[in-house]
Amino acid sequence: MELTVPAALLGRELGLMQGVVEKRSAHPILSNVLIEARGGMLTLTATDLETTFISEISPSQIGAEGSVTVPIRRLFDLVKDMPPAAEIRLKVLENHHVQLECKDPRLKIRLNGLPASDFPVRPEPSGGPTLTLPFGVLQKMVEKVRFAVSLEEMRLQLQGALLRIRPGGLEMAATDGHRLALVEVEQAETDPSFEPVLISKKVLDELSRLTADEEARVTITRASNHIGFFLRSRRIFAKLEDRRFPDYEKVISRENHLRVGVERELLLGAVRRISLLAGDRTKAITVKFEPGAITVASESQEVGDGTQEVDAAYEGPVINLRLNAKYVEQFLEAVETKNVFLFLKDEQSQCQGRPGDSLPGLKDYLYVVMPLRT
Amino acid sequence: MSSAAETAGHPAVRKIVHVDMDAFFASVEQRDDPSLRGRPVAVGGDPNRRGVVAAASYEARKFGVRSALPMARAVQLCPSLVIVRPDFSRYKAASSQVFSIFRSVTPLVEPLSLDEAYLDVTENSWGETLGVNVARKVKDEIKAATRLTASAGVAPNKFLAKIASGWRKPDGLTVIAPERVEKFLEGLPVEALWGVGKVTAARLHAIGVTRLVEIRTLPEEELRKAVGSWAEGLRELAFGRDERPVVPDRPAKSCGAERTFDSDLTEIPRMEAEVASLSARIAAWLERRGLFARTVTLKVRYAGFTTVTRSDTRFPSLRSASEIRERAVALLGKTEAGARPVRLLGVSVHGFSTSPFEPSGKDDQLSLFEEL
Repeated sequence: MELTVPAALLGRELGLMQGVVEKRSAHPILSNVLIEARGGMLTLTATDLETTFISEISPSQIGAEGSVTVPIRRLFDLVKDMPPAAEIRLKVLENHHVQLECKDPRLKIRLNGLPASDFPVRPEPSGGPTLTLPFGVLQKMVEKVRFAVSLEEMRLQLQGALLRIRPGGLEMAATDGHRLALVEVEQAETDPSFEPVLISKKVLDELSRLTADEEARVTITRASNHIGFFLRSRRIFAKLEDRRFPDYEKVISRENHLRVGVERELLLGAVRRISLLAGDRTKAITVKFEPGAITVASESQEVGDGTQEVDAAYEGPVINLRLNAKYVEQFLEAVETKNVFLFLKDEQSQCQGRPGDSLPGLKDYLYVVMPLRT
Repeated sequence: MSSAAETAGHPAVRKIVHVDMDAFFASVEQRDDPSLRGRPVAVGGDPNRRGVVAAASYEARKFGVRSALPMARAVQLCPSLVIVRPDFSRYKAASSQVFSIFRSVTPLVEPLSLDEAYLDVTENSWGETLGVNVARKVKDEIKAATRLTASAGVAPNKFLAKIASGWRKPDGLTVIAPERVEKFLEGLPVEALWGVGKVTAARLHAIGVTRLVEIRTLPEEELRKAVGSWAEGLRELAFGRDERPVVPDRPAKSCGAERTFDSDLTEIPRMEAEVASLSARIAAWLERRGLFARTVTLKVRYAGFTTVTRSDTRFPSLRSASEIRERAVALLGKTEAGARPVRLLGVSVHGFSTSPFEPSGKDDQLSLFEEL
């Protein structure tokens, strides 16, 4: 194999793909990127066996077709260090060594590779129901729920966001068992036989990292054993696991009738500031709702204490909620709108949050958070 | 948690177990595909495309097939070799079963790879005083859960435990008791040391050293010339000394103690006495680490192997044996113990904090879903 490719192009793709590769992989080949030059195209593949990222780019020139694998992080670090305009020449030598050259004849690099034949078999698109929607809309859905995905190793069924079709649209939900983020959109062409599917944290991270032109649409295919995302020249495949996402509709209370309106930035600022005084482990704050105002307070033996009051549109009884500051902060960051609404019931029950104004592209956005024990 | 804190107050002699799964990838393949059993199997890449062997079954090893050998060469050595492409998702699944067994014995688990780990079982959840009993039980549990065999080595330190696990394979169990260390070392060739490859061995042979113990008397300079900066470490190992702690890859999240009875318990007072002794062991563990726990969990296995657990989470957090016992005994009342004979009792604690009044965060957080 021998080819020439602009450093900027190769570097950009490797940068996107390396998120898929595990830091400590089960086998050396899984730390590698598969490079294939065939039919005038350069195809790059990275995988951790669960998630596979494939990208096709147009090389400047293919001298000889062929394939090889090399460690992705090393190749990325080498390439990103080159001037972006540089043309990089990759050539496979004996024993899967790869020679890397740019214009500078005084620079000589040889990377040890592994045979392409040892690389795991790549999933291929294989039928199944599909969805199509503007990529920008999918990315917005991901942004709105990604932070609520569980990071706990033992809770496999919560380590992702559930995507499912709704009458006339599409819904995505994520929860870590303590809070839930739920977003619904309308601009999707859906196939009614598309079954709900759990999208892993890794895929969500990759989707949020990708960039595409404004018109780009993403097609999602749900095959029997994997889900595929097709976005222009890039494809992401993820193996489907048999994990039951909890029935989240059941836990969304319909009894939260007390509505509080507040300016988002004001409340976010207060929560950020006051949570600095909370103990390191808990990040617990007390949020007091009273007519006309919200007071955020925190105290800890080791740091100190503080309170901040902000104006709010509220007319109900006084309610004190103990909340994890991070949970509140992440919602306020994600929601974007100038104002937000919070819906309460009592001090032991969930608090719900919604945008105060409509969000472009989204039909609905709901956040539910459980308080801390008082 | 620092290693110093982990070992503070421990008896001077540690009990380290090194567990190594036998021909792991190949064994998983033979387990899942009966047609491969008894045949020489190599997991790895295509021999026509310069693939290499990732793992070889014991049948294949008889022909000289081993890891990292080019597959084409492996086929020459063993023409009847069955080549299987690796399926890491199945290896990972088996590995996580094995590691959850390790972590149920002690939080001090140091993984070396998917199929190999060190365990410090000086203290263990079974309250076993003999390392060999822990190792045997771990091997049995691995076999029951995964239908795979492992070889284990038990010794006072990591270096000896690792050599011991390789002594008899597959399905081996080798113990080097402290009083037998010297005898064991005397028989060791330098090649037995992990990290001594052909090159280092040849250099040592060149200066007349073939047995590990001969390194002890070698002049400092001569040893340094042969093995460079490794001289110091090598000399320590030659005396059988290795103070490296077992470094867990995650902090302890819980601590448990349990006991299986030779004959089932039917009397409540007897069960309460057992719960008291398990509670005392946990209290000692918490005390040594300066921790308090928010949640006490009681595990009861009835005759007939049904197992139930009952938990109690409360504030402030506790650490004393009497408080743990009190809560665990109350939990015992919420089971059918007594009405049904009991085969095993276990007490564990989690939700750690460093002071009784510091909320441990997560336990404070109310849950959205009852079932989670």
